[in-house]
Amino acid sequence: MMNIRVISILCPKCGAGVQFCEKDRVIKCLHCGMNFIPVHSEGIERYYFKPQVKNPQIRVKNYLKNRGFKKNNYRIVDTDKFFIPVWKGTGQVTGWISGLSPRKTVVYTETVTAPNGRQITVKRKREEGGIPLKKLMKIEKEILFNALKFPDIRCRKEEVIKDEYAAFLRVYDEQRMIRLGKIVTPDVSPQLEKKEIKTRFIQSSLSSYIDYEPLRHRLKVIGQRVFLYYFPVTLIKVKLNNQLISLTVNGLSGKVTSNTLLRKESATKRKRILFLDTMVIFLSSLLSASFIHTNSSFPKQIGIIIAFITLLYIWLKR
Amino acid sequence: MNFFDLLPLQCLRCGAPISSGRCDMVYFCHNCGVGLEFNGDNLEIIKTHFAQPLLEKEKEPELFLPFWSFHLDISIKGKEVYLPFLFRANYLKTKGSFFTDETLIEEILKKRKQQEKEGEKDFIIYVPSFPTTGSFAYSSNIGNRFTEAQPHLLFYEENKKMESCIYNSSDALAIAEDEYISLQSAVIPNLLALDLSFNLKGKKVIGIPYTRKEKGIFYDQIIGEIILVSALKKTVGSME
Repeated sequence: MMNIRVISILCPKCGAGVQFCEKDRVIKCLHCGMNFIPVHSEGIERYYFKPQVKNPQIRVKNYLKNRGFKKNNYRIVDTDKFFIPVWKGTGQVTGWISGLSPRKTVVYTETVTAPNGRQITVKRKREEGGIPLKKLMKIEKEILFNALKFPDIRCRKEEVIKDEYAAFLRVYDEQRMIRLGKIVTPDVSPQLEKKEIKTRFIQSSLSSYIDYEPLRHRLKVIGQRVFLYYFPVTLIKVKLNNQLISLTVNGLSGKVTSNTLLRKESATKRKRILFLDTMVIFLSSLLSASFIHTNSSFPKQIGIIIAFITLLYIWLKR
Repeated sequence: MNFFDLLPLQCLRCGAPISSGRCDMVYFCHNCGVGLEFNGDNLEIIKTHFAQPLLEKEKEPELFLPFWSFHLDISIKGKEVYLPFLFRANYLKTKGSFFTDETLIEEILKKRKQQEKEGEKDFIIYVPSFPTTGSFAYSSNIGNRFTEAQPHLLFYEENKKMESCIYNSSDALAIAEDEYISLQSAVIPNLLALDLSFNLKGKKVIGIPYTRKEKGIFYDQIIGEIILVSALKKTVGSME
């Protein structure tokens, strides 16, 4: 549940600092007493988070160090700062819905008494469903989703609704943001997305009644609000053991996320494992060979089994 | 391109600054009484009236709670038939299943020819638009009562103080459609099967007078519906 997040701006009339909450429809300047209506272009409420991580490369180096990689194992090849967009929509779905619940035939068993007095089990069929539904819906809806597909960047959409980042929330300001990173535009235009959110709200409200026939409704979305948050991230590309990987640094928490699975594994540990494997294979081969070269059949069979197990172990280790 | 701007809340009629609640969708000028609504680009004037009490007229109203009132022509799309034949029990007697009856429109058309549209043209739907606590279903109760009653209202000439209005006209109109279907579905089964069209002929905000019945209870001085003080949100002023 999101708490109240306060945003600071300057009063256009007196220049004093004004604070307002995201959900406010009217903003009041406590200094001059003037009330204002926030006017958002295209009806989309755009905000961004001011980046806080000063040196994302150091975060990446620490991240790799903690996973056992030495400086000579990797090389940072590219660093890019972005503001990635995330949509949030809220609203209330309201309206009437009607239909008949799905009909189905249910087979059930029943114990009856036969004319001769014996208890027998018989199978019967029953028609179920067809129950009329007629109800007035009022459902609060909220949706959060990424505004673009960018597989290299790993950032959870839920980051934009975290209360702990409230202090860094700002009103969208292209000129300031450009100085801090590249602004990525959403894949779909705001007007289309606004309609899409409305459709999604209605579809999700109908999802429980999808089998109803005939399903009729007059559902509408009221009080709809659409937010577009721009979240700061740094995308760092690293060449690691001849493989190019992308690491995303969260611009507020500094958390690093990789686009591939990096195992925490040290070189000495790897050498030790290799030595142990070689020893196990050598000893089992020796054992199996000595068994096979005996005269009796039973140890020979044991030797063959050991040989098979050794081969299986090698295959699994590959 | 400027993506964010602040529009000063000033009365379009008298120029006075307007003070309003944080969640309000209609802004009332305390100087001249006019209501303003933001249409996405600019403010526009909304007709606002304050109803005089019809019940216990000697009692001075303590509150004026905002109700949207819509003057509507409701028709079936593509058919020469208008629907405000409200609340007449047994208006239609359908055979078989309500949900599969294909003769519904024909029956309505036949019945409608027997009715006079003129007598029903001043049909008004009331939508309460004041903030309440939780999901208190006043909109489908108090609103329905007012719509059913179709009270003949008289208005004050002077300006009064209106409480917070949390629905803009388009949202209130959507609720008005629900209200119409709620009331009418008891008369016409499966109203949702019809492609209804709600044509807006007029809209205004009416301040309905409320006074205290006893501790913790208000009632309106038009039809006498009660509302608990605890159901009204704190933004509604002058309460205990």
